[in-house]
Amino acid sequence: MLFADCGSSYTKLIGENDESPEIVSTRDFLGRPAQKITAATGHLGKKYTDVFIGELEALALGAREVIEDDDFTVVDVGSRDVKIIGYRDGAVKRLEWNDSCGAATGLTIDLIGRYYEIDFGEIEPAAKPAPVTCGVFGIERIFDSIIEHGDPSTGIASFVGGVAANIFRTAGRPEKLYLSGGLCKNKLFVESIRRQCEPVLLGRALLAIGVRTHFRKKSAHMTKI
Amino acid sequence: MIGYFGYPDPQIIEKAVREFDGPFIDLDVEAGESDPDFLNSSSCRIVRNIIANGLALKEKLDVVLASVGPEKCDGGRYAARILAEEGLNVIESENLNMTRRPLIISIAKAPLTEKVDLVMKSIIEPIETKLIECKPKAGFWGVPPNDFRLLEPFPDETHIFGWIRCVEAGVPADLSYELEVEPDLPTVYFAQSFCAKSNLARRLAENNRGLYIDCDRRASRSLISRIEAFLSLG
Repeated sequence: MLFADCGSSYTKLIGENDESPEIVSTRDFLGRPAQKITAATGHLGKKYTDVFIGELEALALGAREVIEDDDFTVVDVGSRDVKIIGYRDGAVKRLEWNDSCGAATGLTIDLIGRYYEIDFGEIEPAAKPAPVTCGVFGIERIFDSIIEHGDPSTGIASFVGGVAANIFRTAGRPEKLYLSGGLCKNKLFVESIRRQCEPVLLGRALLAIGVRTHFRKKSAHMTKI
Repeated sequence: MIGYFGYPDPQIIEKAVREFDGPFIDLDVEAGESDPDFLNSSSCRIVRNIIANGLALKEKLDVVLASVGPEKCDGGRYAARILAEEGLNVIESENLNMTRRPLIISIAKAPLTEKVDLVMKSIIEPIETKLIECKPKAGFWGVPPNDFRLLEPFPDETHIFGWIRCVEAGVPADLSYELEVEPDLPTVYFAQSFCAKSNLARRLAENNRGLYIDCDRRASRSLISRIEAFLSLG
């Protein structure tokens, strides 16, 4: 069996007993011969399976599977959107999903890194993050940094710090923030979050794990019937 | 044509039925009319509907029955004044009734869109219905949303709370009744964006087993997904 989180940029695939996913660019995944997907989530998920679950539900189920606390906040920063779920006393208290503007998400940070050919791991987080109300306007910081310092690093640190600060505020300023998604591998982003609170990295499989959990529960329910 | 918005005093509605020819038209409901330029885009969509609809139908409306009391809001009060200044025949009304009628629709088993529609129609005339009471699986608190697609994810066993419940009970200005909820029932607390009720909705969601949402004109995919996820995980 195969469970998928079909995102805009990357597709994460996980088997029945896998702990870590296979990650393939969605462009490559679309080019594969038709693959049997047992259940899926994500923007493109509906195309590949009859068992589809919404992304917020997948994130919540995946988080409940791997996080032991009854009070927690988890953020999944994708290519084009940010999803936040907060649990209190084991019940959902916060469900946020910004899919109307992807300017301050993974893709923007990824594009900036590629354009300026920088290694995020070599940049120190900014002492003072920039106010990034819009990722496109926030790129002005990078231009200012080139003018002032001759290189974009300071501006990039401020920009990524601003994105991190936004996420921290939208998540309700928790003491600990569970992070899911590709930005878990971005050292600058993680350290910028650490300036605000304690980050706990969950990797990129959380939604696919949630899909698998949903399928198992559904199958168990059908067996009982 | 008799225009109205909010929940005017039933005696004023009866008088209008005697004096003018119908049909009745609810100016709160979006009808595709353009907003006049003088309206602020960061203001309540429902109030903008009232003014846009009123002006678009100016030549056809014999009268506008305007809710201007605590059963509506200051936005309604100002809309009444604006429409009167624009030349419409506006009769202002306050509905302060506090004697509650029994509920049927708000606690019945039926699609939520249908129930909300029936309650709002009951403002003008009594509704005959064979709906049957059910045990609730979820709750919806608030006012009729501008975009009814928000109501589609809810199960048929959803109970209605807040201002819509007050309308069915005949007490649209009863704030205490508006704030009565079932704390442990997973409930979506809804307010139109830019509406003062959003403070109530948010506070209720925080203090009970709830999800706060607000929406302006159209429900986004993410907003519908949040509702679906909450009802599934609730």
